[in-house]
Amino acid sequence: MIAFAVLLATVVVLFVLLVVSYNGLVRLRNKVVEAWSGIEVQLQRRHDLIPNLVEAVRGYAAHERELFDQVAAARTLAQAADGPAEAGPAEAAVTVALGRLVAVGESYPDLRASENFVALQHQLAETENEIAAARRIFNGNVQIYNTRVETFPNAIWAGSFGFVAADFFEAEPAARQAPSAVGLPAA
Amino acid sequence: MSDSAEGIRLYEAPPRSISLPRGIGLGAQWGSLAFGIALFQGGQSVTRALELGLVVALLGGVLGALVVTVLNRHASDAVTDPFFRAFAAKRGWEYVPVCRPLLDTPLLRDGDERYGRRGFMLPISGLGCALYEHTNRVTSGQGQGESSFVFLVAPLELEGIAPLRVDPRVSSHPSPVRGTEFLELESEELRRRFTVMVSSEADPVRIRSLFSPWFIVQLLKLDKADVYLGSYIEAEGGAVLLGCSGTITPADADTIDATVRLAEPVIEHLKRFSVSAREPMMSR
Repeated sequence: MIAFAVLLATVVVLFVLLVVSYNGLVRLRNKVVEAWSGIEVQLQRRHDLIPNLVEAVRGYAAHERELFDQVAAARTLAQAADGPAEAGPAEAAVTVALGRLVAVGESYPDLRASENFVALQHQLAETENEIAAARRIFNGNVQIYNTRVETFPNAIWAGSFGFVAADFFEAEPAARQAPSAVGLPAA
Repeated sequence: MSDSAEGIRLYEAPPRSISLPRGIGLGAQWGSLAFGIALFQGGQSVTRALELGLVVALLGGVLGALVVTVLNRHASDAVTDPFFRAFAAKRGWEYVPVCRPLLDTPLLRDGDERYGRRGFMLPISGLGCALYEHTNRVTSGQGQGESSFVFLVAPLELEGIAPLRVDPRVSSHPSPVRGTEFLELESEELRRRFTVMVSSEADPVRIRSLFSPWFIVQLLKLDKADVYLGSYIEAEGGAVLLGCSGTITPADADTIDATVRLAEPVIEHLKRFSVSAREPMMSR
């Protein structure tokens, strides 16, 4: 009888621990998804700025057709990217293309003095700051979540319940810290 | 206490002192007690004892007054040191050695007694702000004792969000302050370190525009930096408070400079938010 009671108590305690741990992982996974939504909002804001910037520069440097095509292609690829692993390199390409576009724009004094161009540059800088901050929040959440998933005792059963390590969002693909075959975990 | 036209002003106050009558009373009391013990051991007559007792009590009172005067003078000298006057003058700030405590937000009103010292009135993002050491004293009940903080108070009204409170997380299941509700932001790091409460009637879009990713990251940075910011943020009425536990000493001159430097972009963000509440179409 005593042995049965001890066994029952052990099972109950283990079950409670499992429930607490499971709920904790769900909460962390939702945080990762939420933070990714934050990044997407800022990335979309940047994508929306691109046509206006291109038009502003085109008015002064219509011959830079190749650059405009490059910016448009990078934007299309970035918009089609799915999850942090794909979005990282695609957004890095957008950053490079935008950098060149702004540099070209700045080489025209009339354009540099244009209020519209200055306002667009300001908005772009602001958006870049927000993207950097959102990335920091997202990567921070991923780190906390991955640590929880990959450490004992969660590592034993987390995979069985569909909790897998998430990808970091890196602007530079080469700097990725935790290569993983999996994408963003499902909510 | 705050003045919207000129920003937050700190008003001079007399140095925190021990009351003179209390010193005289305590001196007389201890003098009489010492005399009573001597009498009990010496076996003097009652009349003689009364005469001597009165003299000893008087002497005790005089001694008590003297001790209190010296202590108060010392306390006064300690805060009016020329170091901070020169420090403030060099930066174009105003220095108030002993100031009346501000009372604009709940943390400022906390405690049974409050004192302020080593206050600076300084401009940040074009706003007249105040940075000073604030001490509150709880004289009865639980948590008796004193707590010292350093607060930066800016004249800003966060319409639609206030009352706002950001406090260090001390429990896993805290309770919200009346009229507010907990805000769950996307940063797990922020959630682990702080509880964020905003007005229960706050508009989610306004909340989002204040707590942008950039602002969340700033809050985390302030908490880790060696500055007088980052532990508490409160907004109520026309004032925003940022601060942490601590005191101001001459060794903290660099910390004061770093505080002002790091506060600048945060105050600027809050200012833009405040302006956008009045001009919704101009907000980004």
